[in-house]
Amino acid sequence: MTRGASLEFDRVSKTYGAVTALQPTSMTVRPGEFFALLGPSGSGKSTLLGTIAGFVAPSGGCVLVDGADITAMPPHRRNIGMVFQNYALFPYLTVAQNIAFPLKMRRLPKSEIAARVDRALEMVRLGGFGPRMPAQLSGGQQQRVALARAAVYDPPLLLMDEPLGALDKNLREEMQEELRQFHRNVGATILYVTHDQQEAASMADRIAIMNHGKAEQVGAPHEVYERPGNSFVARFLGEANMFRLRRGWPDGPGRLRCETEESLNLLACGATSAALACVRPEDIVIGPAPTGRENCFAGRVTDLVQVAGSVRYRVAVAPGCTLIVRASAERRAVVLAKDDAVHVGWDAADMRFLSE
Amino acid sequence: MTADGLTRGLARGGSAMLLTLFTAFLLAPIIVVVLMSFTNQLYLTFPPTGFATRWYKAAWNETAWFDASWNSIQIGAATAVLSMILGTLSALAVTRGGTRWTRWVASLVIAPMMLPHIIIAIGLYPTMLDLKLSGTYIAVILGHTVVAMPLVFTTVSAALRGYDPALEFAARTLGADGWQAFRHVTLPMIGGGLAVGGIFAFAVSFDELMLALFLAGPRTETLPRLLWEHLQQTITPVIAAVATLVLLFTLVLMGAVLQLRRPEAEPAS
Ligand SMILES: Nc1ncnc2c1ncn2[C@@H]1O[C@H](COP(=O)(O)OP(=O)(O)OP(=O)(O)O)[C@@H](O)[C@H]1O
Ligand SMILES: [Mg+2]
Repeated sequence: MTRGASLEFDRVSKTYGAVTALQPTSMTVRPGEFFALLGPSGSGKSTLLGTIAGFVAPSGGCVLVDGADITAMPPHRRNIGMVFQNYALFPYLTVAQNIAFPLKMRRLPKSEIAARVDRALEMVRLGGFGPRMPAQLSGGQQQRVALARAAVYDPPLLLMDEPLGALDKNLREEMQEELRQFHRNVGATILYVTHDQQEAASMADRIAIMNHGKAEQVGAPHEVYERPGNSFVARFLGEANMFRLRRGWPDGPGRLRCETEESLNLLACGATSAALACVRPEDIVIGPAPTGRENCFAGRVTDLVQVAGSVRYRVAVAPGCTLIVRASAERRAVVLAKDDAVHVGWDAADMRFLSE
Repeated sequence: MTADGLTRGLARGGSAMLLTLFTAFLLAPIIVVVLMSFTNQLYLTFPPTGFATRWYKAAWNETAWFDASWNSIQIGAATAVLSMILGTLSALAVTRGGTRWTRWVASLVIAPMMLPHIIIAIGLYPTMLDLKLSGTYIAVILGHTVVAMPLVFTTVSAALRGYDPALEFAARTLGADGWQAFRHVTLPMIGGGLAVGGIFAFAVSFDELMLALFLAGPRTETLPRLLWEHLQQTITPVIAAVATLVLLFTLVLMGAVLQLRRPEAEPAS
C-alpha cells in the first residue's frame, strides 16, 4: 500500500489575459485523503488540477507536495497519477500496452512490467482484457483501464478530472463504489473533480466548493451541507429555503429573533444576525394541524411532487414567500393534496445564518 | 419543386457537369498521350496509326531519361523529407502553440500554395545565384520545399485537430518527457496524415517544372525539365512514352494515398 502524499496550495492563482480562471487559493489536502473539488462549470476546478499535474503554470503562488515545491517541475518528473474525463487512452496501443506505458517510461525490466500490468488488470477486474484495443471496451471498462494506468506505478497522489462524467447513471454509482474501494486499497491521496454534489458527498472525506475561481468553503460533506458559509454553498449543495433578513434582536440566551423581507418573524440560534438565513426542506415538518415548533406558519400547498421515498411540497406561507418542504415516507401518514390548508414548522436550531 | 428536390437536382446536375469536365480535360489528354505513345510513326500523330513499343525501347536506350528520373526521385525524396519535418513543426506550432501568432504563422505557411510558381521562382533565382547555389540539388530541393511544405502542413494540422490533446498531457503525467510524448503519442496519431502529406510533397516535386527551369542546372536536370526541353526541340513520340510512364508512377502514388486514407488503416502494433 502506498503512503498518500500531502498537498498544499499556497495562494495559487491563474489568469488568462483578462480572464481570471483561479483567484489566489490556499488549502491543504491531508495524506491519504479523498478530497473532492466541487463546483459548477467554469469555476476553475480543472485549472487547479492542472497546476498540480503541471499543464497549467500558475500566475502566482506555489503548489507543494509533501512539503516540496513542485510549481516549476516538468510534468513527467512529478510522479502524479491522473485520470482524464475522456480517459485519454492511447487508441493505437492494446490495454496491456496502455498500462505498461508509464512503466516503460520508467525503464523497468520487461518481466516486472508484465507482472505489474497483470496485477493492475486484476485490481480493476479486467483480467484477460490485456490484448484488447481500447475501442473494443465499454465506457466503464475504458474508465477502469485509465485508472489502472494511472495507478500502476503507485503514485502517492492521484488526480481525477470528472472520471465518471461520461458514464450513465447506474454505471456511475457502481463505479463510485469501486473507486471508494480502490481508495481504501491503495492508500494514495485522491483529488477528485466533479460538478455532481451527490457524488462528492458520497465519496469524499472532505469537499472544497469552488465558484468563480475561488474555494468558497472547505469541509466534510455533512459540515458543508449543514453549515454552509454562504448562499452559493447552501444552494449548490441541495435545496435551501432562503430568507433575506431585515433586522434581528436577541430573544433569550443564544437566540435571535429576526424579521424577514416578507415581514415573517423567525427564531434562530446564534449570537449575531447576518444578511440571510436558511432552512433545509427536510428539516421542516408539515401537517394539517399546528406543528408546535419554534417557527410555525400556516400556509397552502401550491404544488407537490412524489420523489423516491419522500414528497416534495411547495407551501405558500406569505405573499412572495413559498417554502419547499420535503416530507419523508413515514410522515406521509397524513395525506395532503394541492390547495390544502396546512401548517409548517421547524426548530430554531435548524436555521442557519449565511452571508450573501 | 421542394427545396430538398431542388438541392438534389442541383447535385445531380453538378455531378453530370463534373463528369463532363473530368472526361474532357483530364481523361481525354491522358488517353491521347497513352495512345500516341504506342504509335509506329516518327512523329506525334493522333489518331495513331499502327501499334509499336519502339518509342518505349527508344526511351529505354537513352540514358538522359534515366539520369533525369533519378534526379527527380532524389529531389522528390529530399523535398518530401524536408517538407515533412518543417510541415510537422509548423503544424505543431500552430495547433498546439499559443494563440496570438498562430493565425499569422498559418497564413504564412500556406501562402506559397496560392502564389504562382513563377513568382516564387523569380524571387528565389537571384537569391540562389548570390548564395552560389544556382543549379545545385540544394537549390531545387529548397525551391520545391517552399511549395510542397503547405501540403504536409495541411494534412498534419488536420491530423492534430482530429484527436484530444489530453493524450499528450496523459503521456506527460505518465512519465514521458516532451520528446517521448512526441515519439510515442503525437507521431503515431499523426502518422497517416504525415505519410499522405509526404507523398503529396513528393508528387508536387516530381512534376514541378517552373522552379526546376529556374533553379536546376545541367547536372540536376529533372524529368519535367527534360520533357520540356525535348518538346521544344524534337517532337518525337518518346515524349509520349515517358509521359505515360510518369502517369503510371503517379497512379501508384495515388493508390498509396488512398490506401493510407482508408479508416481501417490505423497503425496497429
Ligand atoms: N486556456 C485558456 N484560455 C482562456 N481561458 C481559459 C483557459 N482555460 C480555462 N479558461 C477559463 O478559466 C475558467 C476556469 O476553467 P476550468 O476549466 O478550470 O473550469 P472547470 O471548473 O474545470 O469547468 P468544467 O466543469 O466545465 O470543466 C473558465 O472561465 C475558462 O473559460
Ligand atoms: Mg474541467
